[in-house]
Amino acid sequence: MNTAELTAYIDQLRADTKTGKLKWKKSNPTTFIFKSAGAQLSIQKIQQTRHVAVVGGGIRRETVENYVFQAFELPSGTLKLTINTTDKDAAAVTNPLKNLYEAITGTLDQEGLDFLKHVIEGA
Amino acid sequence: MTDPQVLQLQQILQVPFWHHVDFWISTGIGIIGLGFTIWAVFAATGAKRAAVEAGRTVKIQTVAIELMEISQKLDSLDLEIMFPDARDFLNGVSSKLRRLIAPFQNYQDLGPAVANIRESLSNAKTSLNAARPQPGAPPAPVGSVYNAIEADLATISGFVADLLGLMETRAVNIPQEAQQE
Repeated sequence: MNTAELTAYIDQLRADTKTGKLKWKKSNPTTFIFKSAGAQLSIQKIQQTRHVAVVGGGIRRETVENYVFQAFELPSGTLKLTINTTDKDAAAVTNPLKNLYEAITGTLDQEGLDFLKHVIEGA
Repeated sequence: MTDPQVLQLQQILQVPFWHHVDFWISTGIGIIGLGFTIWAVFAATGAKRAAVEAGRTVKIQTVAIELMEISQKLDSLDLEIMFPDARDFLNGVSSKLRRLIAPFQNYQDLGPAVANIRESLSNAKTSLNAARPQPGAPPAPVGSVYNAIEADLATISGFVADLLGLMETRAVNIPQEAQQE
């Protein structure tokens, strides 16, 4: 897969998320979904604890974050693209996906705060 | 009693008892008896220890068979598993594994593997909770629950394999120790 092209698209999604052009919805605590007329995008953060053997004995624990990004065609639901950063080939897009994920959570958090502010001001 | 008999008795009593042959015969028999008794106690202790170790080996082998079944289950997680099924699956595996490994937590050689399995089970539960569906939210794509817990299950499976390996070594070692005894 063309990593440079993919990174550019992911960066574009991040920019559109920040401007509010793309409205993501939380499906579960670590998965977010964007739905349009002909497509559904999803991003999931996976936190894993790795146990790495240390020279001289013992085990060191490492927490790593990975991301799964999927694009489905609607209404058929056909999976058109899947990127899992646990795969070696997709490791290069871990940071762009992390940035997209943070943009989504940041935007949704802000929306929640704005709503709370609106409720308080309206009361 | 006649005089010669009294005289004879006096003569016998005047000689120290350790000068009598029959004293040494009975002492020798007593020492040999004591030796046999001590030997019998040692043999019985060794036999008891061997019996206990043999019983422990049988128990370890029974647990090992059950651990192998769990390991196979962990490696065959359905890619399309949904949250309720995954929760039931993990709860089932967790309770069974904890029950099986609990007796070995204080063993010097098996304890670390037991602790690793417990920690991994907790991590898997945390990962699964991160995929718990939000009420009223759009459903997550198929495979998201699998993605959330797959790595943790692989880690648990790895640690179960470590424990199995250690148990097999132990099962081999114990009869050798028992034979030496």
